[in-house]
Amino acid sequence: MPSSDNDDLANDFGEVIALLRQGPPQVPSERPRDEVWVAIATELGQPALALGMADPDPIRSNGGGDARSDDGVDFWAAPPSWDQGRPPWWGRPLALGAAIAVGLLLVVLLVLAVRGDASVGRRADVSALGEWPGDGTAVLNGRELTVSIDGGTDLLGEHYEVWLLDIDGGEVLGVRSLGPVEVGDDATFVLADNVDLDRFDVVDVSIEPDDGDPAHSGQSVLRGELVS
Amino acid sequence: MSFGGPGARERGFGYPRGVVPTLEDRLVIGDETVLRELFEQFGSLVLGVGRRLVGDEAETLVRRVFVAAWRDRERFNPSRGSLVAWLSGITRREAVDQLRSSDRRSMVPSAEVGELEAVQPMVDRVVDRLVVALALDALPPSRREVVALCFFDDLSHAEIAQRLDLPLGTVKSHVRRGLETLQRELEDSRALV
Repeated sequence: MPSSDNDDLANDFGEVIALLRQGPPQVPSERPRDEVWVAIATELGQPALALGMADPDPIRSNGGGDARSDDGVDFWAAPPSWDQGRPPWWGRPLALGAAIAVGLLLVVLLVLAVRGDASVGRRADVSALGEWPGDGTAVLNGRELTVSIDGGTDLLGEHYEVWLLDIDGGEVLGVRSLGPVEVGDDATFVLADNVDLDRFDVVDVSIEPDDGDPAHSGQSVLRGELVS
Repeated sequence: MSFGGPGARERGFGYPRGVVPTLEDRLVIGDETVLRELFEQFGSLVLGVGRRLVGDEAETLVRRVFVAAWRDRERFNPSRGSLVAWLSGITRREAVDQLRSSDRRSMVPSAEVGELEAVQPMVDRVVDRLVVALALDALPPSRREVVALCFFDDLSHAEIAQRLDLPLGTVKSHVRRGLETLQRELEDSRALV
């Protein structure tokens, strides 16, 4: 570039220009071998996974279903505007304010219903979301979480899944998959030691379509926070 | 902690439909499946830096950089620089550490063997060049072309304007804005060591 074009640019960007003047740079293309990835995973504590072997399944469901494994993975779930997908037949979920009002009412009813129960442990004050006509319970005893949903025959025909959520400031920061729950039945999940219940303290039940997609559908029907 | 690229999805983890988070999002949130993708996308760049600096110990540098990247993931702040700037800062640091701890000073091509201070400038030269190369690649095509003609082909602004059939003012603007972008990447990369 001729110096007349150069002067004030050189003042401001001399270093970058000098680097460019060394000529068109080559972006390296040699890829690291797979062994390097194995070494990385090994150093971070997961050699078996690095080799593609099945990981130990720390969450077991007594329902016998295909419980998904969870050994400490965090992953990012969407901010509140989740894709709704197929709308449930009872309509779209209520706006948050209305849901809270409904939730409070159901919490009161739930607390009244279980007041006589002397069992030790934490209970999630679960409340139905939107206009889902069912209800449910979630009780944590030690590391065993027992979830049930009910509401009669209106709920049949859908597939329900249980999750633990990490919600902070209204945003879902993480999701743990536990397993399926059937209407009118209890499902108990044994939580791995490395599931941090201080973070994942919201129990969530969703409706999952049969599309082979293991991700949370975004259609939560029941949710509540574990409280002592 | 677990890893495992595609396998993670089959274990029941994934993102709600309709959401495509960026690598930066996933790093910020701590999605562990992101590390394998960072390795796939940036591994060859770090290996290339390693080849130039530590020769046949380049794979060690790659391992050190991605281990450090995962362990330091909470320090990644998108507002302080790009993912490339952040990774390149880690690469600088790890390369300097690796060179300084190496007994094989003969691998250091610089004349100042034995002078610890010489390691940093040598590492910076290699990493700077890569950072600028990547930032140049990432420029919008029209701007990249102007910058390339200006500094690689040594054309004047007027010649570039004529060749590309652009107003002279546009050419000047492309050059300046292109340099600003490259400069910013370079500064971020150095600041994030």
